[in-house]
Amino acid sequence: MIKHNTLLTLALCSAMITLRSGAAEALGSSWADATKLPDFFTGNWESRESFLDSSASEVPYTAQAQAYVAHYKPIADIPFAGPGCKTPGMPIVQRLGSPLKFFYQPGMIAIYIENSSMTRFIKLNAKHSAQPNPTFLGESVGHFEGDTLVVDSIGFDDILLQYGDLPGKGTSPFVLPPDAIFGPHGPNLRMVERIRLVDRDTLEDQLTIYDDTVWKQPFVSNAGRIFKRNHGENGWPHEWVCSSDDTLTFDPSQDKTIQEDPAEVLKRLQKNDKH
Amino acid sequence: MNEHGSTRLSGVSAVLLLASAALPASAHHSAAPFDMTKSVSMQGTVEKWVWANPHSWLYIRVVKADGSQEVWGFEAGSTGMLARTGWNAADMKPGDKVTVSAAPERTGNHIGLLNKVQLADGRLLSAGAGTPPPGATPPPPGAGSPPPGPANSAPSPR
Repeated sequence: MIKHNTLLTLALCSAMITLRSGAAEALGSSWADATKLPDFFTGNWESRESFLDSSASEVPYTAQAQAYVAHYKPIADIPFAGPGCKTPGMPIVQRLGSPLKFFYQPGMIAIYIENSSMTRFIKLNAKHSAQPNPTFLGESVGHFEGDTLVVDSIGFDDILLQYGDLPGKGTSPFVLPPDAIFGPHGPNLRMVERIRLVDRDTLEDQLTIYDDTVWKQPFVSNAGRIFKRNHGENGWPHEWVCSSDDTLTFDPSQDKTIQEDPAEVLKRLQKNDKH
Repeated sequence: MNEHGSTRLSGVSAVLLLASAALPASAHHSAAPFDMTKSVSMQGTVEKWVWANPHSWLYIRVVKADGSQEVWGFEAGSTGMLARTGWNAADMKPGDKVTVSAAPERTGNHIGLLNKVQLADGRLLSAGAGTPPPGATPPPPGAGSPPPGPANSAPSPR
């Protein structure tokens, strides 16, 4: 009897140890996992798709959003196009053409977004903060479901959120800012991405956005979903600092592009060179 | 200066037209100021090559047939994307003779969206879209295929 109880105890302990070690070994928790993760990390990833959603993504608006949309006036360009290159935030900043570069350390995947030189930090196998401070990239936690990295983001600042497209617009392969409807987000805005390799050189980032102040159903994005891998030198990240003194500058306050005489801009630049 | 417009889309301008649709993605402003159905080509002397983000800019001085001079500014891509296309900050310096091809600004201002630059040493820098310029070294064997170029897919915004 004693022998039987001892064996039972040992078996239970063993099972508990197995369970505990299993929980502790969620993919993305150790350096050894670096060899087990899907290869998001070699080279970088470049979007060649529209950065805005087409009308195919449209879902019904809430009454609050419908009232906002009814009085919406289209914009000529996005805030990023103005002085200082204010970031549009997630998810548009990831789709602006310059590549994304993934990095890993146990418990974290980072994504360097070359356009704007911003970096997302995704906590792996972790929970959200009780009250995250608002940021333009949001607070992101992630975990692996098989070979798919599932990223859940909350805590957004004043990002450029696309509600949908204006009637009859958003049907071309590249949806432009004047075609789209942008608006404020609610307090519970949440984005869920499912990131996986379609093949060795193709990455899919499937995004669903939840905001019960805007949509009656989750908004399943069709924009910027596919990224192609750059190899070798082209896969190396570059610095990106908004610094040029452009001859053309978008002025959000006037909603128009301001043009300067290039001769005058050149004089200013050459004068600055002398100082 | 040789300036010409065309209502017929050439292969190059078709690519640029596609590019224009994508430009606002990372562009500091929309590509709306440029007439992507037209192309201007001109020879000039480099005044300044601004290697910067979100756009690099090339300023050249052009001497017209009557002896008068004009300063033209040409907008190019972000530094990272230009570098991936084979460009370098040291490619041009003040005093260099260049031949520029660009989509002109719609209202006649001396501004263009840069398509390609022929350098004095014969090298040709093209706007591309993240693809290697003509003559660039292909990726090493086993490195995988580069992303589709603008000729067979939607081009990358800058």
